[in-house]
Amino acid sequence: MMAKFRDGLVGPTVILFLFCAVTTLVLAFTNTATEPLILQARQEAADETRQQVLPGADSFAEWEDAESLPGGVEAVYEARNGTGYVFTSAAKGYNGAVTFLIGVNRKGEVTGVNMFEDDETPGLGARVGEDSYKDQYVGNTDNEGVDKIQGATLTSNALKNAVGQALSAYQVVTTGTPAPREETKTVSGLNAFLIILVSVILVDNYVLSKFLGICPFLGVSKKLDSALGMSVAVTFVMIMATAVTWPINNYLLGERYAYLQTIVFILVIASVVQFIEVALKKYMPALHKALGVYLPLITTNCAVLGVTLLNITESYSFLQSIVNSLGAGLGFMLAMVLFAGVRRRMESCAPPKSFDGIPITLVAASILAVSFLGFSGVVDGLFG
Amino acid sequence: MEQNLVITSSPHFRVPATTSTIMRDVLIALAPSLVAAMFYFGMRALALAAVCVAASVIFEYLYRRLMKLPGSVGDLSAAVTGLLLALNLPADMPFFKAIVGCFVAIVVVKQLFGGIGKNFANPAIVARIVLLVSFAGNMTTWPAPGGMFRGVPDMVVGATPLAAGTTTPYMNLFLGSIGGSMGEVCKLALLLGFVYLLARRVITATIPLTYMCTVFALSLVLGGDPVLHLLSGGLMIGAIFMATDYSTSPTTERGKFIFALGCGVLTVIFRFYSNYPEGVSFAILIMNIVTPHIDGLTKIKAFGGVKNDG
Repeated sequence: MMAKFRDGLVGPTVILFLFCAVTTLVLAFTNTATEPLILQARQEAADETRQQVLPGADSFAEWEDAESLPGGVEAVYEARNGTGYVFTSAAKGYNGAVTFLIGVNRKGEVTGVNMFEDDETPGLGARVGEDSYKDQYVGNTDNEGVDKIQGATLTSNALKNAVGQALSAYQVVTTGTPAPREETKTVSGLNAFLIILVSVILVDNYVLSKFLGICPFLGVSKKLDSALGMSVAVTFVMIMATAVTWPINNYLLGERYAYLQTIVFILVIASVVQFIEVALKKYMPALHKALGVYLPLITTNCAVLGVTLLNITESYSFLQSIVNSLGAGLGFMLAMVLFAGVRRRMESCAPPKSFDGIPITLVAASILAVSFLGFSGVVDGLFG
Repeated sequence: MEQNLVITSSPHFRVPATTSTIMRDVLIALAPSLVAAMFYFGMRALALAAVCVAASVIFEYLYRRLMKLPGSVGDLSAAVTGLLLALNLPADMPFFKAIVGCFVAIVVVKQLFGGIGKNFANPAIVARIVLLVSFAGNMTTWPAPGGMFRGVPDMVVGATPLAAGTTTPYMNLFLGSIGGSMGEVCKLALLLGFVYLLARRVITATIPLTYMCTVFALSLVLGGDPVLHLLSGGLMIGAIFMATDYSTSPTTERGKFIFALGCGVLTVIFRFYSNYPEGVSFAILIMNIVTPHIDGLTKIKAFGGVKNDG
């Protein structure tokens, strides 16, 4: 690479430019060809799920005055043939908010209920999603009289509340009087940053919960000092990558060119890391000595790319993105440091031959990941 | 010495006598809790304990046999793990799910790493967490305590006093006439076992006392009911029997203190703020994982020894 660089500026620039141009053209072409089809398919699929809770409806139009809806109701769709309405209603369940689709006909009766996202207690909270349970609401004009499921009290309650919200939203859309505005708790300033930090370090840890960055996690966790060095490098690169990709996405790509995100981010992150490495080598030899070996290893690491992309998905502001990247790096460090201890302990372990090396390390890593499950909900508990 | 008195089941391999005597003492110390479990939850409790012990011993035996390793059933540690796991389950846990837990404990957490003393995490704790995550329904509905001679417990309570948030008389909490995992309800029985272990010098009091005091003090600071927190959930069975496991807790007394302090703080954090009503098993597992670092920091340097950079 360096040798080529010395040969001149034009050669490599042209080669890289050609690569980028071809890739982008292919992507752009595929996107233009498929985008309308994808949109249409998505629309049809959405209509179909709505028809399940409101039988007899044909197609749907979204209710535009979303401001007037009661809290928890995210969207209302009116059936174009006048059968009724479908409400997207979210209520707090066992593991964060559960979203339900609730159909209500012209007479104000519930016509169907569907669970939208299912993160609830497997096999139990999920029972709330079973037809025999949720269909008890069908034909009701209120949300009373349905028993809770033992052991899934919170999820049953979520459904009850969601139905209640949908029915009051029904009043809003049929009578036209907006729901009384509740004081919505907005999380402000420092707290918002703390929530991001705590959740990305403990609850949604990149290594232990999202399973990103497994390669450096397994590769460099054998010794505490190299584990620390790697973690510092990862944190540093995550922050730098976010600082560069966030503006590019929000000011250059936007919604229109979202399909270019992945390729642009990879290119930008790789160049930034290479650039930093060269700069460090020249101007800060000491820091380069400490981080240098790790930098090329994580140039296109999935955890680094992951944090930049997830910052966009979560629609974080620039500062929030930086905090999230810092937290992702610190969470990586926490996992690395904890695992370094386990790895040292495992030097004396005697696994069967077939499990020696990476397999037993993965078993150990899974035990570490399981231990972090205890933190689920801690953020809501601490700040909610 | 007692070596000659130790009775082991076949196959008869030579095992370190110390391990089996210690494990025998732990089994004896757990006996009152098992009796209490039978008293409150009927014969189903005894059956579940028998299934868990048998499954654990059989898994241990089969694994050692298949891997052509010297047998280790005689050291009784598999029996202890099985009994501990059973005592950490609701009495009406389906047998096959309990057996899955025994497999996780004995094969995945313990034997894959090389057997007794080589595992970095407490087998019964990890098994309990795996069951909690996999079968949340079974693991969070507890049969109400009833008579000893009742068959399958009929009434089901939704939550332990910790989760329910209602006030339960302290005496009920202490004696165990509350919903909960079958071995954790009766604090009297657990404390009897604690005294026995102390008297036999199987464990020191550092970990259990530090752990319980931390939970008591911290729940008081955070505005909870400290007596309720001390007497409910798996705190006592965890502090006395699980956190004191030799191979997964620090070796020095100073290390043990730090370890137990960490367990206490994490337990209170989980109990107060997380989705789960109980945090003892998660807290102990996390501190198991931190243990190598605690050991590294509190290592007693050999006199005149060179500093070890680990």
